Amino acid sequence: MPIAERGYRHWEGKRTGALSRCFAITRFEVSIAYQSSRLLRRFLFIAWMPILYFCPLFLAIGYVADPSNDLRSGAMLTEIAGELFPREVIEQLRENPEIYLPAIWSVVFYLFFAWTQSLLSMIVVAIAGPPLIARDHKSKAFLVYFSKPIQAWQYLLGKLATVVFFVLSMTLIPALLLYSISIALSPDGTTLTATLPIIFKASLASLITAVPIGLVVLMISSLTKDRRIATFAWLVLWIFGEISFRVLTATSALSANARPPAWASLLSLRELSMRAVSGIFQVRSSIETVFQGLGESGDRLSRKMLRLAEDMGDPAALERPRSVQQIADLAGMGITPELATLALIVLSIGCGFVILQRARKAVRI
Amino acid sequence: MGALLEARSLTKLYGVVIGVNDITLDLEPGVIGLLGPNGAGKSTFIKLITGQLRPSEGQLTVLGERPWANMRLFKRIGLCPEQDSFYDQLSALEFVTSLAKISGLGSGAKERAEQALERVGATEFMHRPIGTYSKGMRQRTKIAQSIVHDPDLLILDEPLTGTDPVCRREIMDLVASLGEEGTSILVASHVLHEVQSMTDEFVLIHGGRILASGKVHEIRSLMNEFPHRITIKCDDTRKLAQALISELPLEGVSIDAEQGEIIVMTRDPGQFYARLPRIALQAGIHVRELTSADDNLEAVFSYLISVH
Repeated sequence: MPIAERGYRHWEGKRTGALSRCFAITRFEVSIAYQSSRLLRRFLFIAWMPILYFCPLFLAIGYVADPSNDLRSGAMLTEIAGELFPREVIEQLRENPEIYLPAIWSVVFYLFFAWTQSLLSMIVVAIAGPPLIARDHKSKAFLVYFSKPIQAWQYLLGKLATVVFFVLSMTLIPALLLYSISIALSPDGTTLTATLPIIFKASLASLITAVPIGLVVLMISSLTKDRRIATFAWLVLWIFGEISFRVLTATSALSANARPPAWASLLSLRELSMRAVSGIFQVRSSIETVFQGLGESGDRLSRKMLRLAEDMGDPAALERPRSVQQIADLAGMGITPELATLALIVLSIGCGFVILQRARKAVRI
Repeated sequence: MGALLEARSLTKLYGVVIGVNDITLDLEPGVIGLLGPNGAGKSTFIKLITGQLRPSEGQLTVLGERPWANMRLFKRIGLCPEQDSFYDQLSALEFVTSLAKISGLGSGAKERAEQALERVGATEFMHRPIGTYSKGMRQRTKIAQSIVHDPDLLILDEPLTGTDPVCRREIMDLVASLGEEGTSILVASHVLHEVQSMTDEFVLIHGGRILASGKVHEIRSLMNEFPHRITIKCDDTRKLAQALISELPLEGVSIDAEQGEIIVMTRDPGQFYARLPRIALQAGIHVRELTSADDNLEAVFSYLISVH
């Protein structure tokens, strides 16, 4: 019987590629964040809760969109759909579902992002993001990282992918689940073909939310060694920006013939992201599609709504159905989605540059 | 394998502060001690070798390649830093596996991490969170992450700091066995005797400059301006001192009667060692012990610093 060689053996395997190496950082960081924060685990669970609200909404939209269904017998579902859309819209939807259904789905998915998931994402980023670089700064882990075959940009990409992972867990994954359930609840297969682009839009919207937010939180994290200071700074930036934006908007709404300044959106990172996301979901054109199809009365209604959204000083704005008002407000107010996207790109590049500079400087200390 | 390291007029400036100053050095593969007091420039030198800093002036090649941002070279280098660069929530196995993956080991990373941890004697505690480890356990974990990808050059920065005697012995044995297997090792320390127990090949650095490099006795033999101090323990110190003075050109002789020893100062230790047995035999003196206090690193270092 031969004696087995059990001693130390030299590595003779093939090395993995650059992307695999930097995503090793992501796996590592996700594991740390998940293990070390009970709060994070709870929020990842809470992220699924809004689905419970939106699923009945899609079920209701699917029900009222089917002309064979009697609205009176399904009064409850009709009422749910009516919460979001006026009766005229529902009637048009029943007559031409192939035109109106994709537009309505786009608007509702946008609301899913804007109302709940973006808010939850900001909270999760506040938990998972601030320690990512601050901790390496404090422990001088840069020395270990950068003695491995990994460059500063790969390190940054690995860290960014950690934040992106958590944001996608709050946005894309629930959105895809919501989409799957909604398709399952739809009356026929035509809904799937008509609404398929929403998967692409949801993916893009998730990324355009995750990447700038991730880079901003990483930049904050790179400026300090103390994760608590980084967390505090992130919360201040987010909450202060949000409050400033809301105050400016409310002030403009109260004063006659005044509009909120376009730059107000720049104050709030969440608002800026949602402006870009509204462009991806084509919220404005979807609203126009829905309301302009209503004929003369509908045209008046849609124009009025969009005008009111742009002109918050009109007292009639307060008389509109609450949900539609919110949609129109979000669609017509602040800077354009294109400008918002541009602002996010510029912000991302700036943050990325600062992080790389900080990482290089940290190695020298 | 060619030269381990070649530096030509290597200088690193931090603004107006000099990190390392005009270093010219050639090192061959093997186990080498990098010695110098705190602030001597060891860390800067290590960061230059590991490609984390770009030289301000001069040239540096490590394993035949320029190290600055050289990913190909980083695959062949392992660094065990002085600081505890850990994530306390993770176990040693998770930590080392992750770093193995970052080094590109892919699906074999976990197995390699287990082997590396076994090699440093960390198998017993490798599943526990690092936050619960003693200093010695942490040192072992750090060394494991530095050898997991099987580097050609291993850099250990103060590897024995805070370790207990058993752990020190084991780390020293590990360094010796890695060296025997062909891994080149650079051991940086400010504690001279620790490094002396791992290797007799040194680079002495102080004030950002290389004071000397080579084996201790070679360095010492080049320092002719300082006489060698040799201590002899014998049964008749006075008689042997007389014999030595009459037979050899010595710089000085002092007798410590209480300890029963003679301290001889000579500029030609080779001749002294060659002729001492005959002189002692002719005088009928029994020599019990012969030591050179100057052949230890500490003395050499003290001399070198006083010269500079």
